Amino acid sequence: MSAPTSVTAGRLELATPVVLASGCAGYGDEWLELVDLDALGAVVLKGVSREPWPGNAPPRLAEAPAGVINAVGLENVGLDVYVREKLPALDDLPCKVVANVVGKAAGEYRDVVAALDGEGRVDALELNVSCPNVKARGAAFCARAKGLRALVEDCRDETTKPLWVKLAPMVTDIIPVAKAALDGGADALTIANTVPAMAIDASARRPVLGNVYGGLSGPAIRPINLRLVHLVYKATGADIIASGGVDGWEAAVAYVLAGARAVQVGTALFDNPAAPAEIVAGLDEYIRREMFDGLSFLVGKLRGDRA
Amino acid sequence: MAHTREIAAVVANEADGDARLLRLSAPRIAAAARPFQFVLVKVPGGDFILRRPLSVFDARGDELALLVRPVGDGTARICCLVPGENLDLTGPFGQRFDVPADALFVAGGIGVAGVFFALAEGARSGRKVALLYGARVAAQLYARARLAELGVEAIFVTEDGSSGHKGLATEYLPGVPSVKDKLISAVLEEELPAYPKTVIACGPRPMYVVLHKILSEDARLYVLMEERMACGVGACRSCAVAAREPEGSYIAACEEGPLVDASLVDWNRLEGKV
Ligand SMILES: Cc1cc2nc3c(=O)[nH]c(=O)nc-3n(C[C@H](O)[C@H](O)[C@H](O)COP(=O)(O)OP(=O)(O)OC[C@H]3O[C@@H](n4cnc5c(N)ncnc54)[C@H](O)[C@@H]3O)c2cc1C
Ligand SMILES: Cc1cc2nc3c(=O)[nH]c(=O)nc-3n(C[C@H](O)[C@H](O)[C@H](O)COP(=O)(O)O)c2cc1C
Ligand code: FES
Repeated sequence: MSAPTSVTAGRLELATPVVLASGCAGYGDEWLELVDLDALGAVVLKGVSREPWPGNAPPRLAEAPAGVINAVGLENVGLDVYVREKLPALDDLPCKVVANVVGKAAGEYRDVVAALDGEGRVDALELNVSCPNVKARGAAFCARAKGLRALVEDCRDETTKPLWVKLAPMVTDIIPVAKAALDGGADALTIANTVPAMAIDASARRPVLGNVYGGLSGPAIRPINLRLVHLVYKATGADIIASGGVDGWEAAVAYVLAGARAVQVGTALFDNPAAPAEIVAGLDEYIRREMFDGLSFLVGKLRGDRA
Repeated sequence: MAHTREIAAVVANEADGDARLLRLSAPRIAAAARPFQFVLVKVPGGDFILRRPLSVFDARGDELALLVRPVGDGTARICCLVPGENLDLTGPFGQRFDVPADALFVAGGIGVAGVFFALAEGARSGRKVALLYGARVAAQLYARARLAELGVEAIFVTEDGSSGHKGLATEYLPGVPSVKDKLISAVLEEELPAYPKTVIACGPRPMYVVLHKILSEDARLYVLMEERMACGVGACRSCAVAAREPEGSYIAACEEGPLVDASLVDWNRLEGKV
């Protein structure tokens, strides 16, 4: 029998349901000395685009109540360096590796997915569809269900690897968006990305972030993303990887009860690099105490759910 | 690298002007720390997610010292710790840097925290070390007794003249034609060439901009970059400093710095932010 915390999410077998979130885990090896990578199911690497992206002007960080607002702007080395230098450095990583893909046009996503399909170290792909689509006058790819479905279909054609689609939380109705991604061929949905936000320095009378706007992460967004996971799970039954404010085993259990099969940990790493290992230990204890055969038996098993 | 997390015990919390010198028992980080490196400190009380970056002020044996000026909630709470309490640290982060023998250190205010360890190591190994140290007021010239104890050749400058010379530290740089006073050159003449070949600076951003402008082209300038940080390990790209090459790119201050070669910095983009 497999370990009680092992799960399968979007065709990817994970030794534990704890996954490091994109953008917080760099290119996979930066945290080696502080984060116990043996505790992880997978690490999602920094988003990669076809060409290098410089990212936004600093300051790129602001503190918020129970959260952090970031405007890093998807700074990344671009596909060439990623494949030549970053992926080969991950040979000894004890967990699965998920490549997060970003682009400004559908063709860019497709090219990156096609290139990464041939990379042995990449176990799955995650499409970040919160990026502004230059062709749709800067609206995010996930803002329109039709466009999203076409984008996912294009990427699906280029790879046989597990394909996750990471949705944005700020949409009028997430269900059609989730369905579009699934219809396009997504194996799982990551729900969700950061919540659009800003911070203002009252003394300086200036925005704190160089980019003015950023994305809120951390416990502040957990109740929002928890509801989205629940809505999508009830409507689709899809494999879901939850993201947003996971900082302990209780948060992880809540997401699993709402319908997630795995959770991503991002912002919590900054506060406590031991969070992933502590979450796995806490889940393990919870499963034993409640006498479940494994975490996968808990998915969506919310009591008294009248929604 | 050798990053670690350590729960340090506060050994002493001493006043130094309007800042506090925290002496901590942190054997692992103290043993690994090198000049110009920093630690990320968890703010006591648990209300803040982001750890605060603080320079390793000094490290000897099991003891790690931090010099902290309370500027906001996080640093205020750190300054309130009493002996026996604990502090959650990660680090040490940042690159090591070998100080050339002819280097002149320039510090502004609390910036002395970023260069003290290097000054102390130099002095303890018997080298002559020189510091040009400016602040707004006398209460913001920190670590004066310790600098004197070490035998650091220090020139003090305050904006209001309440201690040392009056004006800005940068106005007293030796060998720079634009400076008001040649006094420093006279004082430091034995230690330094006509003008410094290497300047290592830690202080407010406008000080760096002036140094970059007035130092001659063949002088090398290194500046300690204070950027907002989250991870300290180069993973999150929060701590971006505008870089010259490739155009439009950024350096991660936590990983590639925090002491950064000024010739790598895009000063045009940086100045816009000062
Ligand atoms: C490498 C490095 C070394 C430093 N060394 C020292 C030192 O030895 N002694 C000392 O007193 N201060 C030092 N600082 C500055 C110190 O980190 C800030 O004063 C502190 O983070 C402010 O936190 P706060 O909660 O009091 O202020 P707030 O303004 O409430 O902080 C809000 C947020 O902004 C960040 N922030 C605010 N000011 C700065 C700043 N100047 N640099 C980076 N982040 C900032 C905080 O970390 C926090 O995330 C250093 C900064 C860096 C980057
Ligand atoms: C500094 C930072 C950078 C991020 N960069 C990315 C990114 O490149 N791609 C992406 O899909 N999500 C990115 N995110 C979002 C996280 O992956 C995660 O979905 C979000 O922060 C919510 O989870 P958390 O509360 O655990 O951080 C970033 C978040 C932070 C804080
Ligand atoms: S603080 Fe995360 S990259 Fe520098």
